[in-house]
Amino acid sequence: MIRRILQWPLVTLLFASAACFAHKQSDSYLTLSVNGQALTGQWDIALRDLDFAIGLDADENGQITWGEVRQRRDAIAAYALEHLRIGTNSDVNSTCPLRAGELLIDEHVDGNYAVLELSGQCAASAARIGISYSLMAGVDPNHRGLLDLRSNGAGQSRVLVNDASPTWLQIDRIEHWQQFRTFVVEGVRHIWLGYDHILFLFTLLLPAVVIRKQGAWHARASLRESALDIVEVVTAFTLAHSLTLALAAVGVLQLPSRWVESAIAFTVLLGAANIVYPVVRERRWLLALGFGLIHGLGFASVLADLGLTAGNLIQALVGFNAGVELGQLAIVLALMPFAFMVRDTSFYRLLLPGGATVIGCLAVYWMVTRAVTL
Amino acid sequence: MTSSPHPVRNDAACVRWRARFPGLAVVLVIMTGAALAAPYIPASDSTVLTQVPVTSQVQRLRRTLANDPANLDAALELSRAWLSAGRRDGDPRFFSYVQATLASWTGRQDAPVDALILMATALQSTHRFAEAQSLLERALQLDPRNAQAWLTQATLLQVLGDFTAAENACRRLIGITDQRIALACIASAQSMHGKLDSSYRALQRVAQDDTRMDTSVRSWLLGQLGEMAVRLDDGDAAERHFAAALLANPDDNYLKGELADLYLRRSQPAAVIELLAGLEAQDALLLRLAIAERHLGGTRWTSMYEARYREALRDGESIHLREHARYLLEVRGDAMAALQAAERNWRVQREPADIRIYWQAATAARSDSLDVIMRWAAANGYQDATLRARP
Repeated sequence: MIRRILQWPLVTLLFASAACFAHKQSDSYLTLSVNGQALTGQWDIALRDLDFAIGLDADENGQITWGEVRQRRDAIAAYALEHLRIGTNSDVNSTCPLRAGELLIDEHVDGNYAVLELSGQCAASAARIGISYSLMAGVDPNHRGLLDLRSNGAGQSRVLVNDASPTWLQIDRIEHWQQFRTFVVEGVRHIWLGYDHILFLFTLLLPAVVIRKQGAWHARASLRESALDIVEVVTAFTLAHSLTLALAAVGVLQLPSRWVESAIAFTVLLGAANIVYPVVRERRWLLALGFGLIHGLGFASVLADLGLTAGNLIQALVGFNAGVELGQLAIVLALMPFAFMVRDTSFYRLLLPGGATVIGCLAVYWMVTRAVTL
Repeated sequence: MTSSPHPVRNDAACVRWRARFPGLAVVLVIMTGAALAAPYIPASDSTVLTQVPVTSQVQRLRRTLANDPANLDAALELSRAWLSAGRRDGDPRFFSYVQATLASWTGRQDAPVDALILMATALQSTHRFAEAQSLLERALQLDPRNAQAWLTQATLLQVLGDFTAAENACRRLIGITDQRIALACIASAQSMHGKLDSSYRALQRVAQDDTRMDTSVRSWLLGQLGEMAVRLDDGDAAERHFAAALLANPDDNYLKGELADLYLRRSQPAAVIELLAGLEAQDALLLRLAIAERHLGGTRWTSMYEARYREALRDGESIHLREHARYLLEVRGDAMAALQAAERNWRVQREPADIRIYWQAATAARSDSLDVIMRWAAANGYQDATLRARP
């Protein structure tokens, strides 16, 4: 007894200072995608945990090899599927039977995980999906399942406790706002990253703060006139590309993307040329309106890549367009006041033809590469 | 993002970050997702994928228990093995295993005292202090002369900053266990409470008589001496004590962390790396490596630490606030954020490391919290030389 007291209490004393999370707790990563009745996904489970639950280390040497894991593939799949039930509406237990596919390995921050591909077919598509999770139940009460669920183009996350009481997730309507936001973000992203649109806009906006007289640029005296010019151009561009984006998205207007992308590059070239050899001087908004129609078609192909379904069409269209406008507006607001301030400098008089030449060269390059590769 | 449906895992010292910063969690989830490589099939059957802690003793006990779930002795022995493993590896899984193993006994009215104590130890190790305390009280009602229960109780109270109650619990050990253990317990509590010098000398005397002393006891005593020497501003003595403690118990990662902190305070980052390289699996040690690396101008361990931190956030996991505050202050240089974390940690824990990080963060942020700490230190007679130097 004395011996035991000598050994034990002191060890417990030492615990006091031990960090509570010298390691992360045991987690699995469950990624699921619901598409109508079809269910696909993958489940990453730490090899450490699988070894503890069902034993992987066949030769008990403390090292788990791929050979040992591979040989236990069926046992791993059976153990995993036994501890995950997915169902729709009110019945978790039987409505979406799961199958395990290939077994792979992936590395996470705390070591290697077994990756199990999952697939399943639900009895009916539903508004709610229920997940009852019990991996490591009875052996590790602090184990958690980190769920990422994708449905209708939107994602949601949950932390699943392994007490097997079902967690219900709404998959039909609640995600609309989130989805809308995704499209807005994509719109902003596209206008910022796909800078051909922005460059085109600038070929029309840069001259807005100056006026062409006798073959030379002169500063425009009034802020009001410049601002009006900018608003006209931006509005025209917006109206035009919104129109064709909508038409293309609903399928009324469909043109090959190679043609559209090359044409967009061509509009950039024309915009740039119009600075060096001004043809359309006062009514540049007309250019914005006409060429904006082509840019709208370009947006439409991006939107199509984001995954449009009949259900989310309006939402996607409005969201994406709103994002494009917001992104465009942010850039105009950031740059045009600067242009206005420096409009009467020799820098600006150099920038106009110089910048236009650079943009024009870039446009030619795009035209060639897009016509060939797209 | 919604709040997690399961009960809060820990007390205030470990706070659920996910609920508090849902936006951040989303961004981090996306970043982590992008950082992950694709799953693959390993090149060969002989590819080693992971190491598992395996001992024949644990395997045998698990088998015994599987065949005979009512075998209390096997359950207790297994729990002890896991507590040791948890202490050694710092992997919280082991404490979970103890919980699962003992749950059926501690849930009973007539719970065995040993089961209650071991369960309390496991809960305390994951900072579930309130639950641990109530289990210990049950154990002490059943067996008021149980040395292990009193000692665990004393430790818990000391972590929580109730040094008077901790000392009283230590006094209950006199006559029911090895005198040296009782004295060490008392000295440890008193050192936090106005008697640092005399406690240090008393503990030195206890450590000298090491006849028939278990190595884990010995390394603990020496580690305590090292910590007290740090507070007495005797770095050389501290280094000697830590080195001797590590000699007695070379696998003690907690001691390595303390020694690394000593090196960091003495601006010897290279010594930290020499001491800890290869022990990155331990988050607490990885943190020290990241801090050392920052002085030497690298980013490898920092990014490793950040990746782990992101994952911990992702499962809504409680972050250990003390370590997190150090990371924010000493790696990121974000004094305000560090102060927030240290302040929340301070509400629950009062070990020297908790007091120190709070003081350092408050100093760096030029915050009024400094007065709070100074008033508290004065009221408790807490002495610590590191609180005088600029962090």
